[in-house]
Amino acid sequence: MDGLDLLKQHWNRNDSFPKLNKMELQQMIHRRSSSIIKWIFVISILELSVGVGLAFLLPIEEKQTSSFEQYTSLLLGIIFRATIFFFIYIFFKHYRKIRNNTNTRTLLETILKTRQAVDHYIKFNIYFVIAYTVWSGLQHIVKVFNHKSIGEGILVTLLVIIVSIPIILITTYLMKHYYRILYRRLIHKLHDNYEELIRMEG
Amino acid sequence: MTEKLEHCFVSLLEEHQNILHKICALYTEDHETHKDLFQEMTIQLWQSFPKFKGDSKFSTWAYRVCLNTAISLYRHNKKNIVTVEWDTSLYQLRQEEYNPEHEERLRVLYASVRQLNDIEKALVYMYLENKDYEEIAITLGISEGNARVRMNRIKTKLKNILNRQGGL
Repeated sequence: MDGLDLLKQHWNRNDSFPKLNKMELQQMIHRRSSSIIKWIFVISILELSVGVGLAFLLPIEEKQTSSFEQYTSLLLGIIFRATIFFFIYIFFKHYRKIRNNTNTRTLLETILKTRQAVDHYIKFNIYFVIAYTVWSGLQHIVKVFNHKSIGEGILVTLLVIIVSIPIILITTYLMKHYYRILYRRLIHKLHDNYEELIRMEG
Repeated sequence: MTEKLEHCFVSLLEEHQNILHKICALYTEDHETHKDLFQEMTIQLWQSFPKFKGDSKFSTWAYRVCLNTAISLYRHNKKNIVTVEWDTSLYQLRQEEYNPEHEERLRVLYASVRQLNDIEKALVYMYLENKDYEEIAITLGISEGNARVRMNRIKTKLKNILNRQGGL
């Protein structure tokens, strides 16, 4: 007889657990949940709000010197806002599908997809801010070259490079670090369990 | 209406609470965490109870939700454990009824099962509850064949753990 069969013998006649009465159970159902889903929802909403805040802060149309700059700026503004609302839609679409009574694999998949939507959204925000900074820097450089001397143009170009590269590197490093901590604390367990189910099927 | 639903739920839960305790026994190692997971399972069950249509037995529905809670939703945080106190005198009394040798064998077995990962513990739970492989596969969302293969591997794994610990 192996260990499990021996355990099985005792398992079904195990009545040594405490018996909670109705009042104790009733008290419990009114307690606050501390589930991972709740935390994912709270953190995701906070992260989504940052993007929405940016969408309102960034000007959709600025006074530009040429019509090309004006159209590009308008287009970027529209793309940014549309993408943010697309990610919010995807987040809520997956979030609404989370059901604790589906099979374990589907539940894990849905939770991870919900979280992934926010991760992609954050990445998009970072890349967009970087692209926007580079675009603004280039615009400024072109203006200086057009209206001032070549020497001043080179100086401004160097300044833009010296200021923007550390900002981009520090932002990317901080975001990576933030996600590593968040990932470890929040969804590491879910990811491991999902990988285990996939390995079983493989 | 909510009061009626609450009364119905609490009555069913009182009757089937051993399902929750048994899952807690596999997934937790101390009394406080047992209580914390039990509470989270109770909350999860209550939150989805309005959607319970009665297509399956309450016990079947409950153990699926509870396993999902233990595997996917439960966030163990010792610092923040605030649970409803319950009377443990009965629990302690019953434990004392075990004879030492018997208790030691069970202790080694439980300790070995707790070394398994979350998915393997779910398989062990359903095996101990005499669920067939079709039901195990449906609950976890895997194929029946793979559930069977993994269960055999778990048996071997447990045997090895037990041998290493010199138990049984």
